[in-house]
Amino acid sequence: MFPPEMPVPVVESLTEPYWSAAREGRLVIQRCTDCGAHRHLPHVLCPACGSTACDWDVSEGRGTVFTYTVVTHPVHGAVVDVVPYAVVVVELDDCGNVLVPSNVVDCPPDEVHVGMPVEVVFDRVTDEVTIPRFRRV
Amino acid sequence: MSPSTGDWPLRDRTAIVGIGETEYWKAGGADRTEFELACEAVRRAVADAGLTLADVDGLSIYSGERSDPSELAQTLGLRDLRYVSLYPGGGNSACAVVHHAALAVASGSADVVVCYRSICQGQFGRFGRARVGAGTARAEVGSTVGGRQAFSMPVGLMSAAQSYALEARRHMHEYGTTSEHFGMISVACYANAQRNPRAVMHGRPLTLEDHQRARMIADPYRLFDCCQESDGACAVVVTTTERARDLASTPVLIAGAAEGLAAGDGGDRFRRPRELWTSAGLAGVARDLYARAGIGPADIDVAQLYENFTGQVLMTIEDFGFCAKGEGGPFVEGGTLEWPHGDLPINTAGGNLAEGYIHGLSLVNEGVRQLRGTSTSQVDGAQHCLVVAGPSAPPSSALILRRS
Repeated sequence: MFPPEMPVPVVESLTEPYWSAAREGRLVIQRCTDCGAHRHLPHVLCPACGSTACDWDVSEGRGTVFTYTVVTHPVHGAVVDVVPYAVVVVELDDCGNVLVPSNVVDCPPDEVHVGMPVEVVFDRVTDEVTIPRFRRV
Repeated sequence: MSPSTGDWPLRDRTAIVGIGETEYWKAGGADRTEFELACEAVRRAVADAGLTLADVDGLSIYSGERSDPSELAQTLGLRDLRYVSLYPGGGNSACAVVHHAALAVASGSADVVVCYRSICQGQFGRFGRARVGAGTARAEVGSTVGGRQAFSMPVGLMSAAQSYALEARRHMHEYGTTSEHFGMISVACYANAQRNPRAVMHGRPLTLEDHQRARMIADPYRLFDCCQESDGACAVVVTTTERARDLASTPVLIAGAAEGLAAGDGGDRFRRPRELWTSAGLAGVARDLYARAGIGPADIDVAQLYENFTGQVLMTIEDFGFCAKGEGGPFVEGGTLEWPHGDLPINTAGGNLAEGYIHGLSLVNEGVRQLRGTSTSQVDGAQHCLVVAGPSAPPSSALILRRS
């Protein structure tokens, strides 16, 4: 999808479970073990109840495009030869319907639309990091 | 008493007594350094107020300001600096710095506070550009990104235009808003710039057809939906209304000032409540502001609405109650925002889009001109001007200025 010059996520203490799961082919979403609320992006405590206790719920990886943009003006050297490309925000069908910023890998940018059903695929970008992206269903 | 209810103790008790600015240039066009521009804007604002630099004992600025207040105080020969405030963020702060100046002078912690913003994008590079591997000329394998950006940069979400385009698209989907609606905002701003010789886009009129033909930046945002890149500086002088009566200049009253962040809003755009995806995040600020000023949207004669991007202006119009939620598109049709005949003339100097992008403080200057009666697109008999700082960039801020 993107060339190797693309910035790669740093695996940090808060996000390590997310990236570890992605490397193993699972999309996981942080869940409060006190009140059950899901949250994404990962955060240090639950915005609903304030608890810091959490686990990671495995998503089926299906959802729909909540919104998107098609980038035509590159602002980074890594994407100069990639434009136009679409960035999508996917609303998952499960895990509290959290929103996941990502891409649709098999779809021309001008065919992306709000409401488009998608499912997760795993894009290994380095030995350490795999990024969950999506494809049309 | 809740701060959001009536009888705000500061209502009309503080005033803007001076405004100053440099020439505005397209980014890279300034023939002086950013610091020199800051000094010039502050000196002009203080002179406009009929004060001297020795009268200034407070400075109120916002994050990203590179003209350091201690260096500025020393250079300008300020005496007894007693109050300095630095607000977080960027253009979201343009009204908050005035709010903080008003709080300082009303409380007696300072007598005369100057708010200023200087920006030389030519000298220092572009504000808001992606920080990792910034620029399109170079990109090397091995760059990494942490924090919440680890979820956005690697999927290609790398600029403000792209992030805000996501919200504009969602508004279009939910409410049928169109690119032409966004274009009507650009057209209104550019038309005002044609009457303002100081505007960077003076002499560069824009039609809706021009807007629609312009290249796409991040769908649905085209070139003229995005604020320009500018060099320049501006400044505003705040003191108490009581002190203002002794000055030669005509004071403009700060009827209300408000700032804030909606519950659940913040830097993580993805975790926010759904309703904030189609909002400027300013509904609470609007509620507080109207209550503090003791007026409502029907009393606003003219507005200066920060354009980071046109869709966010449309959502600001909804948040401030000029139309119902979702009806911003139909509201802007038919020249509503255009001077002189529209019901809500906006950005009468040209705004960030067409006058100059000084991170929004120039909008406060224009609000003051409207209530002094000196705008180049003067609204006849204007009594109240709404000024709104950066939408969808919390914590954000707004002012209602009143003719004295």
